[in-house]
Amino acid sequence: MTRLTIAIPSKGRLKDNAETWLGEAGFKLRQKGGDRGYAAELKGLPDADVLLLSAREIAEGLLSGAFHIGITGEDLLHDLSADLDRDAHVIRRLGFGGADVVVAVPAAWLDVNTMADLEAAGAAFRLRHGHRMRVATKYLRLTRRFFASRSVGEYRMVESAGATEAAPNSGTAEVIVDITSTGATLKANSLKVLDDGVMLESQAALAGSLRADWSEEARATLRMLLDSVEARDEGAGMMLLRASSPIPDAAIESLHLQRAGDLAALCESARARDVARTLAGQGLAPVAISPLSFVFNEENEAYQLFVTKLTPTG
Amino acid sequence: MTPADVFARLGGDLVDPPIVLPASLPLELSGEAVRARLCVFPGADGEEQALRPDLTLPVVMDEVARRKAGEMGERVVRYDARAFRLPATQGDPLEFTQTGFERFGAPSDADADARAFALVCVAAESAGVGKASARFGDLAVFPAFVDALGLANGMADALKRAFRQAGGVKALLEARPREAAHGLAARLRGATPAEAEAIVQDIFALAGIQPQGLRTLDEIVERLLQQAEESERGGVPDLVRQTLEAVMAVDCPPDRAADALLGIARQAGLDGLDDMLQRLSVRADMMAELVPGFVASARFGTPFGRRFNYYDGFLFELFSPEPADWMHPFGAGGRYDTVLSRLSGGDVDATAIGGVVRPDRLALVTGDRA
Repeated sequence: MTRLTIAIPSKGRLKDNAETWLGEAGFKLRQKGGDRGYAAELKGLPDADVLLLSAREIAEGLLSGAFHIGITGEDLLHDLSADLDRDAHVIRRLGFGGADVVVAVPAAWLDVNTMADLEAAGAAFRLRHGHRMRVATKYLRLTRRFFASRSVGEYRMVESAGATEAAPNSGTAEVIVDITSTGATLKANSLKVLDDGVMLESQAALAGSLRADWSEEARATLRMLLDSVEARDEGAGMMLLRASSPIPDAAIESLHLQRAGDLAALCESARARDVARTLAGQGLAPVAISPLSFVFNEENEAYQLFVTKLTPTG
Repeated sequence: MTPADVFARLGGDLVDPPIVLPASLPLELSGEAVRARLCVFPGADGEEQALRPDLTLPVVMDEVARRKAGEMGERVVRYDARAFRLPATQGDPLEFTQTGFERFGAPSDADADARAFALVCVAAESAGVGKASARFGDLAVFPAFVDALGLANGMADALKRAFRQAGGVKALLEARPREAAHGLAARLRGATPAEAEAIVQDIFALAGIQPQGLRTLDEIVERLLQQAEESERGGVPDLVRQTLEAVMAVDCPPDRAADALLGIARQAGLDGLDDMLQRLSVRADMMAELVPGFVASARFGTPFGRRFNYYDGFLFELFSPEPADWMHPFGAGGRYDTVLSRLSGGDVDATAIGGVVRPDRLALVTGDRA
């Protein structure tokens, strides 16, 4: 495994968003064998091998070190790993696929609004029914950790593979822990989220495996990918100002600009027009503004941080 | 002489019960906290199965069945068999031997407690380990203080449950006063159950809420009325908080534990703790007499062992003094007088105490010395 291996979601909205995100950074996903093929490559990153997998498989592979990097949900990384600091590192949160992992109970439970209420209700339930209150979830680790941290012990977990929100209605569990973006599904099933029942605010993330075998070559390819990603982000927030005569140092300093040659400077998009007018008024007119696709810098913080994590300390 | 020979002095039957049990057994008894250590797999019918995490549980299940079938009286069961736990730290074996005993239906007193402890020590001695750092707890102490404080039922029960959770008591003692009374509960103050139920039913009708699942309307109403009562009372009185914090903080040589707790009880003006304190003190004296080498550097701590969910009284663990390793006791045991009743839905009631040694860890201790 000397080449960088990157795992990308194989279907659904997560795949579409991941594809768009990579595309904006200049790497176009090309699937071999059409839309349904599971082999793929990233145009612009010829030194990387691309795998198309489910979000869960990607999380598992990152944690076991089966591949170097991947795009998946934070919820899965946190739930599937016993020690995420040891197994994987979130290089970037991607801003899509946002959803909360929450504790929800039947809306009819007017007496249960907090985890402390749930603890008391669970204890009474056990006395009344002779067994523990059941919590349906696919998030076994997250649930256990969260309930323990809130001192709630009076429950049993029931593993649920899908349609967790239906468990209270079908009678297989009393409480659920599930992921929700709008809460609409919970409402439709007459469930309510506890006031202090948000366990994790999750979103899609680009994560790197700390257990994979990282060759020099794989690191170099990751750096190339992350440089473009950073450059795209940097470019998205900036404008290029181009004056007709050299911009004096005093103006660069007082207007907080980044010099890009004698005649040009970089400026945050929000201030660009005001700054251009000011420069024009100082005799540098005409001053043109143009958008930027990429701005490359020498350093790459996200990459540096990840490499630090890769090096075992002590 | 081996540990198994030492335990054989108790008489009784040597058993090797089923290795596989329904996962719901340990999970119902001890809660989800044990799942991290439990070897679980799906059975043929889809029900989760587990490898026995210790010998106590299958032995107790068998004992419950026997007693349900009418076998009464005192009984000793011994074992020298494999148990299975997912490693907590790297290098722990998943599969290991437990050599031990369980004793059912014998009088539950200081004498029986001390003798069970001494027997485990003698078993360790027979394997070449002549001294230990022992850690003692007694899970009856905290509930006894809660009862003596005469708190309202809801609060007393909540405190006893919180005692079993890491950080639970502190969180409960500190959180309660600041917790605002829940609006609906506050409005139900003084209502009869029937009135409260009518109000809740109106709310359901207005909001279009359907009750679902096993939890019934009257369970919801019962809790709402309890909350109403709790909100009326407000937070935990300072004396209660100080007393329980002091009880939790007791950490001393075992022969001083009774005095330390007595001091706390006097300060708070509490009665009804004499039997419990007497048992603590007699037990400590007896243990020091029976196996002095194992008690010399011992400590008693009120919270010690509270997360071993089935114990409910005296309990102990034995550790190697050097190198000190608080993660890997080579001997352990304790009392669980309420478990048979809990596991049988109240059909069976018998006292229970047990103890084990881990031969693999004993071998590590003697190996280190050689």
